[in-house]
Amino acid sequence: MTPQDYYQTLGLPRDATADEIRTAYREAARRLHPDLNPGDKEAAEQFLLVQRAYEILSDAAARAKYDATLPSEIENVDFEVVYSRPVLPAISEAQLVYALLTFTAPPAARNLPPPPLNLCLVIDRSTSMGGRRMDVVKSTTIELLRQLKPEDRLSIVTFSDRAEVILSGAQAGHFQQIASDIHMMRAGGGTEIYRGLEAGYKEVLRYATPKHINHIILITDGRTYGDEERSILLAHQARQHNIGISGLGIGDEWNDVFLDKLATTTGGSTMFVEHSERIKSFLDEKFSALSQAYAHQVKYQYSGGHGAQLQYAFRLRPDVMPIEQEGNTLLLGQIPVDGSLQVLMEFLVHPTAQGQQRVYLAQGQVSMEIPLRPDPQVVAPLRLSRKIGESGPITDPPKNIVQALSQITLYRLQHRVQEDIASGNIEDATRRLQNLATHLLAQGQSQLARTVLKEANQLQHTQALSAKGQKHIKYGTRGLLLPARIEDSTP
Amino acid sequence: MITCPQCKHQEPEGAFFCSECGARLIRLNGLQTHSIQHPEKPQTAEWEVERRPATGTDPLKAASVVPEKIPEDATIYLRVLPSGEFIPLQGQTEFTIGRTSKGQSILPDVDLSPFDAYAKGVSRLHAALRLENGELSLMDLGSVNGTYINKTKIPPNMYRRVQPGDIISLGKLSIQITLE
Repeated sequence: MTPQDYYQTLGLPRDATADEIRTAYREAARRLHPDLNPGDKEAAEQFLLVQRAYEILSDAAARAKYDATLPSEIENVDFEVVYSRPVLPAISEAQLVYALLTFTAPPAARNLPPPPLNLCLVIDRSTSMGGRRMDVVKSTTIELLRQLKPEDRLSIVTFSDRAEVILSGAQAGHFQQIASDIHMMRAGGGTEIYRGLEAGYKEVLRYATPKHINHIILITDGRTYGDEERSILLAHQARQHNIGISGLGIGDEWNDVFLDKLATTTGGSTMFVEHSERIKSFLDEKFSALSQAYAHQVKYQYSGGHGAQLQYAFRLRPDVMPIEQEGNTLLLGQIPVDGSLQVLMEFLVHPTAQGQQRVYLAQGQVSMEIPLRPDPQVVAPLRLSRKIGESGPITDPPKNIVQALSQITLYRLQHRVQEDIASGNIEDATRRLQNLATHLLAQGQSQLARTVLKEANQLQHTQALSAKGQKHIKYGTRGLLLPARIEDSTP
Repeated sequence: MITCPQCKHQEPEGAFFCSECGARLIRLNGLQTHSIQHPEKPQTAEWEVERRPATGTDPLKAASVVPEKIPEDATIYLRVLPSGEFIPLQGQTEFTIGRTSKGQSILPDVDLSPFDAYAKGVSRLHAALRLENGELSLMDLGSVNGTYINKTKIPPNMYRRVQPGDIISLGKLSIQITLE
C-alpha cells in the first residue's frame, strides 16, 4: 500500500492555506466522529487518518518536513505548475489567470533504450508531387529505413485518387527489395487524402502495441476535396487507439486548417516546408522526436471548475501547437526523454463570491502512456486551483509566462485575421495585420514583418491573403515560440 | 477591466497582452522581454546631443521651465504651433497622437484633425507619448512623414526621451510640450 497522502486524506491541494486545512479537518472530523458512527470500523479508521493528517499539516515545521518527502504529484514524471499570479484578488468582475504546466521525464529515462516505433508514412503521389519533391521524399524514406531499430516497424502508403500499400510493417533488414519498390513510386493523379489516411491507419493499427509509439506521418502538397470530414472522423478513431497523426505540408497549396485539425485531434503536429530541400530535415526531426518520446498520449481529462472556464491551451514544448479542447479532454502530446512537455492554459475566472477562499480552475486526471513501463498506462489526479485573497507585494509575473504570452498573442492575432477575412471583415483584418507587423518589428522579426505588411497590402487589393503569405505568417508566428528562440531572448 | 492604452479594447483583469492589437498591458520591473526600448543605447546622452542646438535659439523654449522629473500633480499640455492652442493630457500615462478619418477603427488619444493635420502630413496613428517614472518619452509609430524632436528625426518604434519645452514635429505639424 502506498503511504498515506495527508493532503488527499483531507481532500486538499498541496498549497492549501492553514485556514483551508483547519476547515477541511473540522468538516471531516465532524463527519467521521466515532460518536456519530458507532460500530463503523471504516469510519473509525478514517477518523484516525484524518487526525494524523491534521497533526502534521497544521504544524508548519512538520508540514514542511513532510512536503519535502512527497513524490511528484504524477508518478514517474516530474511535474510543475506555475501560475501567472500567486493569489487572485477578490474582485466582482471576471479575471484571467494563466497556468504553465511542465512535465519532465525523470533523469534516469535518458539511459533507457528508446521505445520502438510503429510508423506509417502516407505519401501524396498526386501529379503536383512529381519531380524534385518526389525524389526527395523517396531518398529520405530510404534513409529512414536504414535507421530502423530492430523492434521498429515501418509502413509506407502512397495515394493519389487511390491508395497503395508499398510497405507493410517492415522491419530492419531486406532493404534491397524495399528500396527498389520505393524507387518505383511515380507521381500522377489527384489528391484524396482520406484514401491514404485510411490505408495508413489500417497498417499502423495492424502492428500497434502499447509498447510502440504508433504514429502516421502524412506528407502532402495539395488540398483534398469533400473527404475532410471523413478524414477527421478517422483521426478520432486513431485517437481511440493512441495513434497520432502528424502532417508535413509542402509548398503553398495544402490545406493547413485541415492538417492542423488532424494533428490536434490526435496529439500530433503540423510542419510546413516551402522548398523540397527542407523535407529531409523535417522528416529526420520528426523521426527523432518520435523515438525520443518517454511518454506519449498525455491527456488531461478535466471537469471545469465551478469558478472558471478554460479559454485556450497551447503547447510550447517539445513543439509548438495550439491544443484543441475536445469535450472535456485535452490531448497534450508527448514528453520527450531529454526535455519537457510544456502547456500554457488561459482561464477566465468568474467574479468571486463573498468569502470564497479558493477557485478551482480545472479538476480531473492526467493520463499518459509510458511504453517502457511494464504497465504503460499512468493516471494521476490533477487539480488546478488558486487561492483568493489579499495579494501581497506586487511582483513581476513569471518571466516564462510573459514571454510565451507575448508570442502566443501574435499567433492569435494572426488567427483573428483569418477569422476576420472569413467573415468578410477586411478592414479589421488589415488593421490587425498592421499591428502584427509593428510587434514583429519590435521583436526584431523584420523579415516576417515585411511578409505581413505585404499581405496587408495584398488584402486590400484582392480581399484575400496569398496562400503562401498566409502560411508563412501562420507558421512563422508559431515558430516564434520554438524553445530556441525563447531562450535566445532571455537576458 | 483593463483598457488597452493603444486601441482602447477592454481586457479582463489579469490579462498581460491586448488580444485585439497585441499591446503589452503590464508593466515589468526589471524583467526583460521584447520591449520597444533598446537599453544598450544610452538614450539620454544621445538626446542631449540632439537637443543642444535647439536650446537658446528658440524663444519658447528659453521661457519654459525644464525640471528633471515631472512632478506627479503636474498636467502636461501639448501646445499646437503656430496657433498656440493647448491640449491637456490627462487620465492616462500613454497617449497616441494622430488624426481621425472616416471609417478608422483605432482612434488616437490626441486627435490633431482640427489643426489641419491631414494637409501637414500627420499619420492616423503617428506617435505615442508616454509618461513613466516622471519621464516623458516619445515614439514614432511608423508614420509616413516621420517624427522630429527639436528638428531631429527619430527612428520609428523606439521611445526617445523628451522634456517639457521640446518641440516635436509630426510631419509638418509642430507641437510644444508644456507643463503646468
